Amino acid sequence: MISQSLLFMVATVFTIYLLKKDLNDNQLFSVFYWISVVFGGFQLCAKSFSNESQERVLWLKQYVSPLEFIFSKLIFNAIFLSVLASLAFAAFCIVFSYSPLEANHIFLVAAIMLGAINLSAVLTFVGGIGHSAGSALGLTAILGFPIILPGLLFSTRLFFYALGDISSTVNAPYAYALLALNVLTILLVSVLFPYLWRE
Amino acid sequence: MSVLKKHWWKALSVVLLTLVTWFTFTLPLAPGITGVKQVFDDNKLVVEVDTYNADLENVELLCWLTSPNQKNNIHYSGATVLSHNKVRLYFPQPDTTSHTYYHLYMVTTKGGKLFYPDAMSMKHIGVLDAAYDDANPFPKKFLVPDHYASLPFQNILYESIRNLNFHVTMWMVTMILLLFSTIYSIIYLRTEKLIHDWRASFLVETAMMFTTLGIITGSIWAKNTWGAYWVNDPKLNGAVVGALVYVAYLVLRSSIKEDDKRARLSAVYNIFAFVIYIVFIQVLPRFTDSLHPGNGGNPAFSAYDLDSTLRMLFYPAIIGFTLVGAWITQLKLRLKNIEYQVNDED
Repeated sequence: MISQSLLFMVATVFTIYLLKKDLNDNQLFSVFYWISVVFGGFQLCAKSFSNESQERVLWLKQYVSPLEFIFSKLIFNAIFLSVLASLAFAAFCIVFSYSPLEANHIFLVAAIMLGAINLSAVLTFVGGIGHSAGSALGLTAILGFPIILPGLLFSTRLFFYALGDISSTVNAPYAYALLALNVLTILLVSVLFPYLWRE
Repeated sequence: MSVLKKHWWKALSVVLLTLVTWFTFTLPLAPGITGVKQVFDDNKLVVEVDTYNADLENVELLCWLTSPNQKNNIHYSGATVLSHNKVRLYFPQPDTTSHTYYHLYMVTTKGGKLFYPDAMSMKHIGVLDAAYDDANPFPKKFLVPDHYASLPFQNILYESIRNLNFHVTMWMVTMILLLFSTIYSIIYLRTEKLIHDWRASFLVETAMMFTTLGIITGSIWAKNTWGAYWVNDPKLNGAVVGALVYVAYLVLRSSIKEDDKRARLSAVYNIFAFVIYIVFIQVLPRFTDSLHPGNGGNPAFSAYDLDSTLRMLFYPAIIGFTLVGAWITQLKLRLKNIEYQVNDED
């Protein structure tokens, strides 16, 4: 599953590279980067419920509380999407010959980490809804796309500011907003998931 | 009487909306200054003022320029009324060394208080009465209250300010209905009674109707003030994506067959969706520049131009439309109830 999404992400990056060879514009760089992360996120997180086998879920439901289950899933997905996003950033830097030394490092890392955590949390939750509805990826995509947008807007903007090393007074509010959105999302997911879990 | 006891709120909504619509379209607009053109003419400052609705030929005028710190007032030395809405004012040469910017104030005996903050190109909202203090009060005939209730005059908006009672109201009602929908979703998750799920879903459907109306009225307003039916603005985009979130909710409902499962999943999604909706409509637009009032440094209407007359129409409009929304939802709910019972008997 991880190798699947990694391959998907690398393919996305390479497709973008083939379509647009020179990407000197930071804004375009940021937009393309986050679109490829969203693709990877859909592969990794939105499918994480449908990839579980039915027997395993039944077994887990007897021995594990819903909060334990969702938090382990959230942590797993957050870590792997962050790793995936970092790898995608490395791939972007290589193919578009961008030197990460020019960037504001703290905010760059904050953008990638917080953005990936937010994406993975929302997509895992929505993937759970889509899976419970007995539907394939189609419904998850319809439910997920509008909902990931606030976090995506914040992280794209933060990432763009970090790339150009624009002063931290401009982008600090975005970092705080993204952090607050993350806390809010994880809180909501932890409150709502138990209702999703019980059949 | 028992009918009235049960259905008073429907009657109230009809009465309120009739009154609001009637007064919104019949009340005149307060007079205002639409433009100031200045000409220096030896030692005298001559200003040509275009007004709106001021009826200058039938009133007496009092005019003065005020510096931004309101310490330096220049009273007019003469006026030539050119037409109903055009007047030429004469001022003694202002002391441009100490104050470069002046606001123009006009007061008429017909209760019009006219203010132009930009008479000499500086934005500043001043206090109207500042030019006259206790030692030097207004002449009495200028102190008469407005002869009639009027809607506030706003540059750019002009007559279209009437739309405030419909456009802003639609969005207020949308948010109220969605809030109640979320509350019913929470109640459903706690009680698992199907009726609460129906309530939540029909409230969303009604809210989407109001959203459509809100977008249409906003679009017409945008055409008249910004010059285009749609502009790329965070508030507008947020509104559309917010609507998409709820369309996704309706799609989710339609894709699940079992009643209990549909109710549970859509309740969970609905609560999540409302939080995201509020982020879209109320939080995101504050982060970027926006043309829309209330965002990106633009003051909202209430800041300076939602005067008491407009308030007296605006709040009843919200109550009236909310009650109409509840009414529509109730009708849908009854229909659903009948359908459910008929299907049950089969």
